[in-house]
Amino acid sequence: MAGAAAGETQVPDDVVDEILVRLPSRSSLARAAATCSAFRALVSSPRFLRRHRARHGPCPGALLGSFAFSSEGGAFHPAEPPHASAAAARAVAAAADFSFAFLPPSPVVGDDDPRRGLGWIVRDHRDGRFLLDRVASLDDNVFPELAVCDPLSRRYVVLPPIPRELAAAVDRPLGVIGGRRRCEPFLAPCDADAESEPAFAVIWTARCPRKVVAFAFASRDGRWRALPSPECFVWSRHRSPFGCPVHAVWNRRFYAHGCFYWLDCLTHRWLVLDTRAMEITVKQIPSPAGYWEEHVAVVEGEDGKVGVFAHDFYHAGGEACLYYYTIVNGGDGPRWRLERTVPLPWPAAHGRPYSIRAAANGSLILEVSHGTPAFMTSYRSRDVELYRIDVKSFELEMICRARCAAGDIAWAYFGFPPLLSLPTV
Amino acid sequence: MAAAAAEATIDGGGKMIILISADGKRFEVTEAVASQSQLISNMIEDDCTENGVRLPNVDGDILTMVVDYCNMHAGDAAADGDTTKASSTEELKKFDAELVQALENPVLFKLILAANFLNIKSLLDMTCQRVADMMSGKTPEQMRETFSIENDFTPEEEAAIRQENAWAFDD
Repeated sequence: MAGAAAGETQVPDDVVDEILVRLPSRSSLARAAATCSAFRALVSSPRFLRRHRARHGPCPGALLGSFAFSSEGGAFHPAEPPHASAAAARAVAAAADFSFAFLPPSPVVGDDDPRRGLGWIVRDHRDGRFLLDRVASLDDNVFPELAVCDPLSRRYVVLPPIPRELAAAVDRPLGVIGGRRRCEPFLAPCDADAESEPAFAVIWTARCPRKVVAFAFASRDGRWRALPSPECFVWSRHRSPFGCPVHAVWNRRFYAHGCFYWLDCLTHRWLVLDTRAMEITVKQIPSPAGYWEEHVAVVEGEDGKVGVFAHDFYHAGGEACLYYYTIVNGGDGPRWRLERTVPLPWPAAHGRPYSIRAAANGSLILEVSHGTPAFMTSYRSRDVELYRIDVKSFELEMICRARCAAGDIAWAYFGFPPLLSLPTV
Repeated sequence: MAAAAAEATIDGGGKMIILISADGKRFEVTEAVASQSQLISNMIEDDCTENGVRLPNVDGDILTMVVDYCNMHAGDAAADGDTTKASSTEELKKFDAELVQALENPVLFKLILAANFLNIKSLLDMTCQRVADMMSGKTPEQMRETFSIENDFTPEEEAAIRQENAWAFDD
């Protein structure tokens, strides 16, 4: 078999190709690549990887760490030994440019220059792609310039602006990320059935006083189109006794099985963006306890179920635990059903040392900061441990230690080592 | 094998051609059966099957399997609005499943090579899938052992590759 023999039979390269392309996952490809140099060369060729992807569909890859963005810039926190992804994560960290210096340059200005803040901001990360935006002036922050890029291959695409006739529907949109932007653009999952061009989709949303406005961009045809959304939708006021700001709802977006979800725990409303029907609806799903948005994450459950991880604000007796629910449809509409209670090993008698950092692909990432309670800690820089728990094993797994910047926004980073990575843009 | 060939004649699939294996075994099949092989189909078009088709790199045992397979699938490929098709689809599935399940190294690879040489796409598909299935849950060491793959990495390379792919070893 190309430098190797199957029994005494020599197998030609094109047959080896036909066999390996039928391996069901990229992890089995990775194992095949570790058998001999010929397999390794074949499996890591972009032509082969494209064929494999076209045949088996997109695959999120392994959890390699967490990516965070703050005013200090992008930070990749790779998994560390003894985590199984440590070496792959290190390879990604070495190969990728998470400073995004390959994007068109923005004006370089001093710290006290009012134009500071005109640089690229990471708005989303999904499947190896990053969505960044930048504004021409700080007041003009509704329709920033959008770029989709791949820090491994250092490729990028600047999106065409949203057409004027669509943009006209946007009326007095509300601010997100501390008022720096008045829109929430993000990457939608995209089935990669094409063998050649990597395809992607971007959704741009804004909260107007009576309506959510959403536009979708598909790289396939390079066009923006409007998504239908319901009228009379007000989620604007600061509404918790603690002055919990709206960004608890906005810019806290979860994806599960074809839909994006934004949760309003106080009014039990879920805003649902269905990426297949390409429309937005509002669902009423009563939550079983008075959870806060910060304490809840929607995840992709097993068997197509929508799962929810949640924890209490206060743990009586210091017994910290995480609840796992699935959303089930009963006679009187959808409701949360408790599936599991997972005890957490961190004492929570005097404040809670952990918080939800990100969620993706059925995994939740928890940030644990020993010594200081987690309440409001995201507003300052801190040393934490990152843990993962997923809907299959429900076991905590330490990913790494990380220094988190103040006010950072984090994502779970799933992907492949550079050897098995394809350009995503 | 004689039985299968006779059956094919009864089917009345037109002209018969002779396939001759490396070890001199002769198989008489209809053109329709043989044409599932793109190689033979091309030869039929070029009119060079008169004196039998010599297949110097396919053993008699393997060619027996190939001819069995082609006989089973002949109706399938013709797709001529046969009313018994539904039941035969079930039968075909069962036949394929049994054929492929029974295959082990090195016969499996010989069959793959024959399917590749004769260019019979569906058989190549099925047999390659079988190997992929056999590989998919295995560690690199098990893959090497099962398929006699020679490890040509240096110990240093091997260690680096193992580490880099550690994420792939736990499923």
